[in-house]
Amino acid sequence: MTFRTKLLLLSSITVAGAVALVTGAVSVAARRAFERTDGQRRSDLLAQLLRELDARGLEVVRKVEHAASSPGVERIAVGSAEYDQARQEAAAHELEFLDVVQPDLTILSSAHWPARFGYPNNWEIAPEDWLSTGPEPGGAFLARVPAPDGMSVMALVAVRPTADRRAIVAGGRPVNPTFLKSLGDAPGMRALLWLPPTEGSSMGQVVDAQGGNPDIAKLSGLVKEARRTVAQATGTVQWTSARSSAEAFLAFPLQNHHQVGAPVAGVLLAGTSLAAQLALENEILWIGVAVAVSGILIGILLGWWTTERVTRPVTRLATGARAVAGGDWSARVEVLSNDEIGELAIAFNRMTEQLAEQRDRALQAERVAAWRELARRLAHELKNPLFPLQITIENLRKSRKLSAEEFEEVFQESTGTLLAELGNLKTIIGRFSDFAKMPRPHFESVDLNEMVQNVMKLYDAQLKAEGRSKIDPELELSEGELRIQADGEQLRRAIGNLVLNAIDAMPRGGVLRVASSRQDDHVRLSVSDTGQGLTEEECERLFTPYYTTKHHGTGLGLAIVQSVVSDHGGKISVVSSPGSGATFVIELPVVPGVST
Amino acid sequence: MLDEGPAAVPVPLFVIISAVRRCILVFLCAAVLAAGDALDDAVGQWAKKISSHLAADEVAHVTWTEGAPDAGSTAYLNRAKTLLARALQRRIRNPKSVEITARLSQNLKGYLFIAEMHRENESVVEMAGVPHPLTAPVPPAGFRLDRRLLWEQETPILDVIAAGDQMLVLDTLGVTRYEQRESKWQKAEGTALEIPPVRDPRGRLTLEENSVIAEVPGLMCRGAWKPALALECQPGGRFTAGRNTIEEAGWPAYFTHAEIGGDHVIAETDGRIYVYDVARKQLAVSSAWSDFAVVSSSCTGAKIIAADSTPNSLAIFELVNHNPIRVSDPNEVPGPVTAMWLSGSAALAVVRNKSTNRYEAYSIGVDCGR
Amino acid sequence: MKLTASASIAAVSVLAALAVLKAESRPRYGGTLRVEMSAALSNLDPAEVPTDPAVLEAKARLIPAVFETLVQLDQNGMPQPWLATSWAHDMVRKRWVFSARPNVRLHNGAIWTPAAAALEVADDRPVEQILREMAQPWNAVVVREADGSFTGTGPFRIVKWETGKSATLAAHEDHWKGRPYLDSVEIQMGRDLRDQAQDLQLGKADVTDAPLGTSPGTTEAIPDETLALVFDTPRASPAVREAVSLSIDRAIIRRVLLKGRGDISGALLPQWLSGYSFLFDGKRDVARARQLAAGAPPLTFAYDRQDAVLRSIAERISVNSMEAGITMRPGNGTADVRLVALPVASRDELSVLADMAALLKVPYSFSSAPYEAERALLDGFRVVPLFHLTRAWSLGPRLHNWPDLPNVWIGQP
Repeated sequence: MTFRTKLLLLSSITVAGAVALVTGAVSVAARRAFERTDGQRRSDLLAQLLRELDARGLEVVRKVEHAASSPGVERIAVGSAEYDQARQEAAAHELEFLDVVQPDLTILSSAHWPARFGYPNNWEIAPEDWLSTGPEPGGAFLARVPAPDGMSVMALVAVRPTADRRAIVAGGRPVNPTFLKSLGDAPGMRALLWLPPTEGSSMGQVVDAQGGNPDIAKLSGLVKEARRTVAQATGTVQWTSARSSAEAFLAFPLQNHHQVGAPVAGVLLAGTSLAAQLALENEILWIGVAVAVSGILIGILLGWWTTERVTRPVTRLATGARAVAGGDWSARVEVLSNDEIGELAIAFNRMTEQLAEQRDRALQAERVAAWRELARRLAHELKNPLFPLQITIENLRKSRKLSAEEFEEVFQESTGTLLAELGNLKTIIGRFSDFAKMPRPHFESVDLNEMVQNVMKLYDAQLKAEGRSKIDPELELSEGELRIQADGEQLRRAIGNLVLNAIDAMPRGGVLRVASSRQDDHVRLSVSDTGQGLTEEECERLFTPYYTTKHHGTGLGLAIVQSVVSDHGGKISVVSSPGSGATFVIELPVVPGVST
Repeated sequence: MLDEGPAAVPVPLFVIISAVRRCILVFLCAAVLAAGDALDDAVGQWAKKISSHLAADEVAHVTWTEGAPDAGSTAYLNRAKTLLARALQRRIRNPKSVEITARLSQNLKGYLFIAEMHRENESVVEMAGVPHPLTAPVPPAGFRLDRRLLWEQETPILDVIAAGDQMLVLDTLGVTRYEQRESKWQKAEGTALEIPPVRDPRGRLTLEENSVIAEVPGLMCRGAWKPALALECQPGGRFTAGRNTIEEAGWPAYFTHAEIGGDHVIAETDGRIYVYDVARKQLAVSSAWSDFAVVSSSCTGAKIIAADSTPNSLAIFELVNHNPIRVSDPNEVPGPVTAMWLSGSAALAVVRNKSTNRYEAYSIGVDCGR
Repeated sequence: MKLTASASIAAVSVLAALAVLKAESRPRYGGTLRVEMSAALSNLDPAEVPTDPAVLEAKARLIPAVFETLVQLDQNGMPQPWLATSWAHDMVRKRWVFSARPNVRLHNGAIWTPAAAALEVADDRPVEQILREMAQPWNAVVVREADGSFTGTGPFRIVKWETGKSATLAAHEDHWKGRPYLDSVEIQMGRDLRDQAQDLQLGKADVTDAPLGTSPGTTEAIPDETLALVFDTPRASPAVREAVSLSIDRAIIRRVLLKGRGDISGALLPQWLSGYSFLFDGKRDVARARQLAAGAPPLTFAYDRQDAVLRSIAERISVNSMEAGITMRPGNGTADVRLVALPVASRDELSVLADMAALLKVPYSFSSAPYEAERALLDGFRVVPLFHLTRAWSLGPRLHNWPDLPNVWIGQP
């Protein structure tokens, strides 16, 4: 992961984290505010509903009182009216229900069920409420009124005797959505009234001021709580699986008499929809997300620009370092700023200069050492043939005194020796000359495997030479051709040298293994022997020119190999340990110039 | 009291009147006697039916409930009780008593005897019916109108003229001449007239010496009636054909027209009485009657006898200031008046008896003294 | 009961004319009678007998104005000659043969010359029954044309007939008993009771239907309508039906809802017609009703909702049944229980029972004794008679002799 990426990531995380925190905080604050406000609205609505309910109760009481003292009802009480007179009286006093009954509760006339005259009144009114002997005499209360269609209706009811006490008048208005709506209405709020179950249903009935049909089951928990504690209860109801359908309710139990143990006649619920609050939270969330995203984008852009300013110099530094590592000791980094990066660049440049100087010095020293070594070697090599030369010539001088025939013989022998030793000298010098003027490689496409096979054929005879222990050649070449761009001549020579070295390293015989393989963009050639192996020090010095472990040889062979390999852009290494042979590994790029 | 005049009613007929509550029981015995046979048969059959449900050792114990359904049938009931008890009498040793509730009821067709036998598991009912006997008409309370029954028959009477011992009756079938023999009117001869059928038919007989004119709607028949009835009919006559109105030149079609004290009193088709003066100028209008006659009597001046506003009754009216005023109590007649004509010095009223559906012709005059 | 019976008997004699007599006046010729009724008749063909009681009663009232029978029952229920002047029993061919009245003109002007087959009836039943049948309006003489139209001999002829809506009858000038008093009769059918009452008030109609139990004006009115419950489906077992019958509080309904009018009865035929209606009592026993009604299924209830009095009676019956544990609710379609008003349209008990049985869709077999026949009809509580009421019309002020259409006349106010 690049520094830039890390930086971008960090800035993104920072931005996102900050935005998330802010969003969360705002969301929580908003929710709290909503809850406070809504809670207050619910309380207000509930208070209004209860106030209005009381007022309606008083109104019903008033209407029933009027009805009880009206001449129409008096006529009913004395029995001189039509059996359905109560209907007209109810219409006149704006009551939906009006029953005029005798003191024993036998109906004289009923407005909503005229046919029940003569039967006992069947409204769910407690005896103490009929006689106004209950704890709160004369007030209005909730009571169930059976209807002709078999259903029963909950109504707000009041009871009054007529003036002459001949009859009792029970009248009321149904508690239906219209009634509930008239108690109070606030936009965005809902008033519900839960009524206890009748014979037909087990769950009770809910009257909705809006006229809807809420699912009673969802309210049952809240209602149960209110009934159990006979006190206000709060709760949230989610009507459907959609979160926005949630509503928060404040529930208040209604009792007909405010005394301990009085049954709960109904539960009044004031509710506010949580949809707005959830919508706001959602909005906050989305804004947060949007801000985060844009923040991140800006962060990215900003980071990009920032890192550009930071990483470019660093990259340049890295490029310069790489160049230096790659050999370009003249690589310098531009110093573009005065800050730490600039200082770094300056230091780098200084370091590179020093390194270059040191390298030069080292190179120089090495060159000097190499010269000294070469001179020593040359001296050594040359010395050998020179001595016999000297002897021979001295012999020749001496032999001048001899007879012609003897002189001739000595002459011939001495010249022969001279020529041989001169030839030797030539060889040695030739070798040095070869080493000195190693030509530049001429690249062409060669098949390494074929080359190896050819080389092996060439030395096949030597492998099987008489008087020598057998050496088994093993070829583990890669399949097919192994084409590389190389100078075939030089490479052949290099391989040959390696093979010779391997043969030389196995005077008692062994196995000579040659393997080739292709690895990505370079090839690998290994030549292994099972000779006595090399020590670590020997491995280090192996490629130094004139270093040889052989008793004969110029010690240039491996140096030549190394030179060839180096000219091809490859590298050569040796793996060995005493007693386990040596393996020389050449790695060559397929295309010189491109190397790993 | 029913005032029977010189012309006796042929056969005494007894009729049940609608206002039975005010009926006087005087004629019930006669009624019962007349219907006695029918009652005996009915009770006998009834007793037989009851007996058929009694086992050999059972005897009926009858309890009568409810009394007579109307005042007129008490004697009936008593007689039936006696007959039934006699018919169910049995002589049995140690009889088992079966309770029977008996009752006299009545329906449209007549009386109905009903017996219910109460046993443990069942209740058996046996009935027997007796058609209504005919009882006498209720004599009306006294009225100042002098009413005499002249004739009664089933066919609707249109006009009756009594002349001495002869009487001509015009009805919807024709003209019949009756002679008085043995204090009874007996039919002498009759001639049928092809009177076109009309609802609410009217007719008028006019008698001259030996000739008679019979007018019916659309027809005028002339002829002789002495020695024998012989009439020839032609289209014409005062009555409008197919209608119940009279047409007279100068007047609109009317039901009745009479003159009294110089005024013309006309009962027009709209059901109102119009009074015109000599010059045919309308003087007064009132809603009153459509049939009336103007009669004079020795003690009073001209009086109008007409049907009163009380249903089925006649009364005497006078014109005072051209307006009719009732000057007598209303007197009941047995049914609606279907014709009223001046007949001599009296008025002839034809009444359809509601109970018997027979037509009765009365001669009506003003009774001075009473 | 006694007083009512006697009054009924007495008033029966007026039955034929059924006149509301005012100041005695000769009948006036002319005028158009405007009749309005709730029933809607599709046609006046006597061969089609309606199944709805109200429609049947209206049709039975109108048919005699247009189509006449061979025989007519008089006010005592006795058959009298009408279009047939006499009848004789052909013992050889076992047929009763009626003699046709001569010179009877059809509405199309032709003389009525019936085919011999139209005047003969098989003698497979007693002659009283045959004559009662011949007197029924459904057996009126109808002459059918080839094109499907038909004419009759009655005092009025059909001038215009709009199925279910309106009809106009015009006087038949050549009627064998004389031209009727009225020039024409205009009938509006299927009219709402409220609209009828309004039209009567405004003087736009002379005769309208009146709600149940309304007295027509005379104090001595004959009950000629039986209000009864009939169970149409087998949902209610005989025990449940009896329970319903025992639970109904007839006395209160009569006193309060019918305002004292009508007679309580457990019989189909009114006392004035049968004389024995008291043998069928409609007593109330709620305790026994509760026992019988154990496990009763809920029943649907149908009644003519237009009539306010009928509706109030039906509601009261529902409340009574509820006391016995039986639920009766108004229902649509075929209801289990129906509240019907059965007309007593004839003076003959057996004809009336046969008509009622047909309306009730209850099987009925002729029995010579009315009591047995009625007992059979009421067996099993399939039918529960409640009251005998007077078939009421509201009459305009100028009307005379209603409902005897041939003899109705209108005075001028």
